[in-house]
Amino acid sequence: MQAYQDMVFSTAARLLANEAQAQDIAQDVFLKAYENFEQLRTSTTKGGWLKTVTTNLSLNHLSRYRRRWRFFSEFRRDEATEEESQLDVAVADSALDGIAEEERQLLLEQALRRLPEHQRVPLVLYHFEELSYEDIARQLRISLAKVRTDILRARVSLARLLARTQLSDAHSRPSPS
Amino acid sequence: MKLTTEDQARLEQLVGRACREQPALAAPRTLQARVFAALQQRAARPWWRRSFAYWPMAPRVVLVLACAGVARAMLEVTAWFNTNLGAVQLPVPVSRSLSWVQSARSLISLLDSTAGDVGATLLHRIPPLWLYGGIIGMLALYALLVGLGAAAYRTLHAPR
Repeated sequence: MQAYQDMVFSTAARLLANEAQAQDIAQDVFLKAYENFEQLRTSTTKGGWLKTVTTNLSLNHLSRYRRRWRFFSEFRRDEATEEESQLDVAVADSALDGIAEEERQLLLEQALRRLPEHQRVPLVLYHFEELSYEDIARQLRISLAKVRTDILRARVSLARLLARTQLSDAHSRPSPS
Repeated sequence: MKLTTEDQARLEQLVGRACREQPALAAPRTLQARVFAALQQRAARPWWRRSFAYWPMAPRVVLVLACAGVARAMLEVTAWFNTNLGAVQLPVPVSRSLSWVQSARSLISLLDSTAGDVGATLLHRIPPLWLYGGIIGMLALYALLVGLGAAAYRTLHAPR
């Protein structure tokens, strides 16, 4: 369990953006693993099994709350075009330069948590869980086009959040003179 | 101005690299203890409080047989009531106290036979204009409800 608990917890925490819920999910995952102990003990793919179960349980947890809002979320105004136009990729690219590694990791985790769920979940599935666009569409039961759009918007939002954080950080630092 | 395809590819690379370099989050130290506590709690439960799949074989067989017996008894009682209820001569006090059952049966059969006729007659009597107007009105009210719901969602709940 010790070898996999960080991986299981990370997957759940990044998908749910909530530590308490991620702990509950991680506990359920290991209880399921215990139920399938005989099968997993000799398996060479137990890491993959644990990751898949974590992802599925997290998505099930989210869908319980998401179902009632999904219909209305389709009415949301399309604000991404405006966001995209304000994004300078070069600035975003250098957003994390010159920041200590630990701080950079913390900033990224914080920025991830601040993304809205419909952007964060497909982004995490694509970049962290390495699922394809098609698999994400199947898992989330949304169209391929929506997956692509949501992930693009998530990247834009993430880059903007990071750029903004760096900007505010630069303002708060004392000037060298 | 939207992002060009090149910018999108650069952005994908940038975010992908940042995510790949991100280490796993450390699980809370309490997680392992929580899991073991939950496992102990599970193990301490008596068999009859566990899932059916974990019951011993004998109680499982008994339960299945008991359920089958109850189902069969219910079917036989229902069939007996359907065929013999009218023919049975019950003592007067009993038959008086059960008179509501007979009344209910009569009412149900009356409703059953006339509901179809009444529905068909009403459908023919209502002017088509009223009928279509009613349907359009209902759809309009439904659309209004959805619109109000969407407005409430965007105002109160949607992430900004």
